[in-house]
Amino acid sequence: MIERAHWFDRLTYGALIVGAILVCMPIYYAVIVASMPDGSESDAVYLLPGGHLFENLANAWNKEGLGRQLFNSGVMAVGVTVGKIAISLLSAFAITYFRFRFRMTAFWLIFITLMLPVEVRIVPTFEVAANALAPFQAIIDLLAIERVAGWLAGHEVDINLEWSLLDSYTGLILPLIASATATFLFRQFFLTVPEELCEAAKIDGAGPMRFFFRILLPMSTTSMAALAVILFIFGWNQYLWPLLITTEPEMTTVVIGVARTLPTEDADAQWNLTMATAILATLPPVAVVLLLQRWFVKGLVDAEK
Amino acid sequence: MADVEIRNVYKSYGDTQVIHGVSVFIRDGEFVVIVGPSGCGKSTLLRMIAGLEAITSGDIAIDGRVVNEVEPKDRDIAMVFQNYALYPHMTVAQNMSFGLRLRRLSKREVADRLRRAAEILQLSELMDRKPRQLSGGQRQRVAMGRAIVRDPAAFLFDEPLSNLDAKLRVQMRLEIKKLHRELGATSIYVTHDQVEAMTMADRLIVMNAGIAEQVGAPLDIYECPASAYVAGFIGSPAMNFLACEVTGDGRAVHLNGSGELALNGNGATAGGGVATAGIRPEHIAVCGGEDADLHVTATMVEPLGADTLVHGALAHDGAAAGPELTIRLPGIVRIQAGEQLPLRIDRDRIHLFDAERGTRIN
Ligand SMILES: Nc1ncnc2c1ncn2[C@@H]1O[C@H](COP(=O)(O)OP(=O)(O)OP(=O)(O)O)[C@@H](O)[C@H]1O
Ligand SMILES: [Mg+2]
Repeated sequence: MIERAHWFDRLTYGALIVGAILVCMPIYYAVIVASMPDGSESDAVYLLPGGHLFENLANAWNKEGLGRQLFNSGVMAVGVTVGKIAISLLSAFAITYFRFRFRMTAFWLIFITLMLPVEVRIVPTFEVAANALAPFQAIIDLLAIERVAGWLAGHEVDINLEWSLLDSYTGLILPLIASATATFLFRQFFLTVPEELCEAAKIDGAGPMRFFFRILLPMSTTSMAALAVILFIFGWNQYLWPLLITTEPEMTTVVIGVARTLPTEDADAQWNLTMATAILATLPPVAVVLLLQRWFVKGLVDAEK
Repeated sequence: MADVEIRNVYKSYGDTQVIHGVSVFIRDGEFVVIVGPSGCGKSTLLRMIAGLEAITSGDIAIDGRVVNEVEPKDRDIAMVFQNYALYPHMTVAQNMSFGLRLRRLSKREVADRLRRAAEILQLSELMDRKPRQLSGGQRQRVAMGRAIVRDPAAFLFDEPLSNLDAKLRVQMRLEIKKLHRELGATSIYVTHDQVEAMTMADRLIVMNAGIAEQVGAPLDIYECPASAYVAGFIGSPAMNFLACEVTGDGRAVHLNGSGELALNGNGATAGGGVATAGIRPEHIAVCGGEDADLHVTATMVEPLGADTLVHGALAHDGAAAGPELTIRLPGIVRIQAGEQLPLRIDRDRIHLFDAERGTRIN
């Protein structure tokens, strides 16, 4: 029995170590490459650091626009995190605690969006983002409101609604905010909250929003923190959407910035700089994880009862 | 302080009716216990009084005001839940004062009430703890405290002690009763524990499948149950039921294999025919052979110290074949399983019930 457990321990540790090596290898290699001097062979394989790490990091940091890109990424990631948590808390609250008509329809609509990641709905999303008022324009066109207005005014009227979200933080953040996953997580959490708590609050005189803010929210903090870590990384790592919606260098995010330092046909590869930039770009998410890890683990292990 | 009137109240969930017309008047300051088996609608009735459940038809009035359409918070009631329903992220003090703060009472008033409630319930030391740092009994007290600080017209309790261990339950039972004597507020208390029901109630409401089968003082119900159902539910161990034949004049009965037992002064309302006789275990005594009404063969003996419970089967032609009977004998009585016992029944305390409908007929 003891012998068997011993072997099993070794086996799990073995698997763990192999997994850790697999995960850490690319990061290690990125650090190695980032420490190479300028003009190193790009197809050579290095195993030991080259001693130029801080020099390269400084160069990457001083490169034009990186600070701005980090800032943009930060705004986007925080915006997406806060927005997603706020929206999904509210929608989970509505779905769990209110009996309204089409409640199940709302539930299933949210559920279906689970199957539609950003990449799938990117074309229509882009169209809407290019002119957020396009749907209203369509309604106006459909109802021939222009002609009615023209008739009322006695002269020709041209209604052109336009509100572009391109190259704006709103455009970067808003389309990513709806989140079925987070809604489900919170719904699941709310379902574990005993019904009597809601009834006790009712008798105490708390209306729905009071109950939400004074009781449900404080009870959800650990799940919120856990989710915030995941969502921050999700927002920070967005690539395709920022690529589409931003054109001005002022508005690009750091992930795109890293991609732009990759060798193109008419420029020399500067792998050491690319890797140094990549390392700088990973630091903020790492910081967030370290900062919130205590809550993160708590939120995953025990939803505080 | 207020009276609570329940007038012909019905409750349906969709097509299924669960409360079939209950009417009770609860006097100001009275401690009323609603008792009944699981699923009979006790909680539903209480929750309708609290306003947590809509009333399908009928009226509920608190202090003379019909509250059917009144929000729970405006009914001037406080409720203690079975699982306490304390807010987990708030301290004891915050839990107790939450309702008061929502009502925008002045800070001094809140502090005053908190202090008084904490003193009554001996919670002063625990005011800064979170619920999870408290024992079950302490949580129970906080839940009571939350009700007390509201100074409500009526207290509603839904099985507040059923999560506690037996010893603590007895202790809290006494405390709640004492509290009621001090505060004098109308209290409605739901339980399925008949000891709680008997000991705490000024008046009992015995519920059965959505109707109030009998309403009355605990001992009145014990001595004169209105139906076989109530008779079987109140009293522990439960009343024995035996088929019997009522004599033509209604003054006596023949039990299964017994001679004629005269019903001293509590004869049947109508003579003749079969009925169900109810005899409490404590109203049967072991006697000398010549006085015996019945003989049982003991199948199991439970010595409790203060008294001894004997389970036996009614002997028929010398063989133990008849219906089961439970007998409660005072003190320690040494009886072996298998022994045959001659029994005498207290004639003044035979209850007769209609064989089919179960209603009392004497
Ligand atoms: N929301 C509901 N929908 C449908 N039926 C319900 C609902 N709530 C309760 N019932 C039914 O109403 C009846 C009475 O329930 P209630 O909770 O009042 O019983 P109870 O006497 O409090 O039982 P217990 O002692 O187990 O708490 C039960 O048969 C139950 O199935
Ligand atoms: Mg109940």
